Amino acid sequence: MREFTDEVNVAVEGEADQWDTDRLGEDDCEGVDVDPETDVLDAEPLADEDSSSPVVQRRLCVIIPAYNEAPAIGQVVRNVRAAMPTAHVLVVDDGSRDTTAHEAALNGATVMQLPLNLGIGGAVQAGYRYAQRYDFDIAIQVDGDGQHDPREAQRILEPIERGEADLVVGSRWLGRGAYVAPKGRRIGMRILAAMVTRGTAGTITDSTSGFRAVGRRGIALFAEKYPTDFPEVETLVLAARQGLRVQEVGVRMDQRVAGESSLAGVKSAYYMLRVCMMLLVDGLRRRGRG
Amino acid sequence: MRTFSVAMVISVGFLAATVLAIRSRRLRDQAALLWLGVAVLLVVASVLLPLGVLDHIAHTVGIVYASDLLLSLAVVFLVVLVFHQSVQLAETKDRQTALTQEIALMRVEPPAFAKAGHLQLEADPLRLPSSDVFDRPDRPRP
Repeated sequence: MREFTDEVNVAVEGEADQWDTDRLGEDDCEGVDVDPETDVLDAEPLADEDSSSPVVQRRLCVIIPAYNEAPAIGQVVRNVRAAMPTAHVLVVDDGSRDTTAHEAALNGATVMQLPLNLGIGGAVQAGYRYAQRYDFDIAIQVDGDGQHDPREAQRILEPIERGEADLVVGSRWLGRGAYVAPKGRRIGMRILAAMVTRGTAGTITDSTSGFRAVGRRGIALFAEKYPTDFPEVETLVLAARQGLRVQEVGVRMDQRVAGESSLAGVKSAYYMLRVCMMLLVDGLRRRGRG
Repeated sequence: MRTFSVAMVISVGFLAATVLAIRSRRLRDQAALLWLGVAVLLVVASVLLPLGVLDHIAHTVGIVYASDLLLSLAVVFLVVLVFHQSVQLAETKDRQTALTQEIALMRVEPPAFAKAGHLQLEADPLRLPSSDVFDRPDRPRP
């Protein structure tokens, strides 16, 4: 499952560095058929069955994992604070070698600095452990590179605030914004979506989206265990296996400006293969264990 | 006779290296026992080499050459060893991740409401994941 390398030495540029290369879905997936019934956007507006309970300000923690994002992180933090003024903004600096931590702190975020580079999974889990330790009600993940629009956060938070879901994923495919996806990813993304959908017993169209929110149950689960290989995909299956209610809502995302590499097709096929193998391995694991 | 000499030199040299490593504490516990056992076995095998005992053993298990027998045993041994080490590596990595996160959690500033004392933290500030990663005999499992 892992390379037999000296992890400590390799950590800086080795396997832990999964920040861009391994996270295909973020900028290059083809849409998957969407079942209109599961489109939360079409759901009835604010249900107020909970109106009997007093309105309590829920504690919201925004977890922003960042690795060498110094040019972008300041703007991301400002946008997040503007969109969610009452939230506690936590930037998890995954051992960056640039001024990411400094920029984030300058713009008013609480910065948690990991002494070693753990990769996206370990960084995000550190954020969830913070959220659990300080007793937050809701945690929302926003990527540190600015591809997630924090103004869309409320859509993701709503199902959790209404108590309808424990984990909500922001999907590019559910009808908001025109996201142009390159060809050649269709088959892989469909297989992946189908596998994840089977595991979660609900339709997930954008399983690699890192724009997501969880309630208390999700915080507790992810603080305890968080997959490291393909965290976005694997956490969905993990959460569903643990009985969490997983939902998806449509959000608008910024397309990355970066041009497409000629290797992208091969790379994404390889990515698909690895994710599928990983899901198979996950399937072999005993329930209730990391 | 030349084969015997070479085998003896190598195996006795390996035994000496193992003993030295144990004395200087570069090998510990299980690993020390394991390599000590391997070294002794190698010496024994070298002694038995000219006596034809190894050939006899190989024949009884249906292998023509004694060298094939030794090679097969070596491969099995190495596969088991590598498997064991990869399990240990995964465990070590889990611990390293947990510790890295713990250090970050200790250094990070708590949210304002926690500093103001509105929040009752759990009695044990070093609450680590209750996985078997931190299975210590002196700490009861939850």
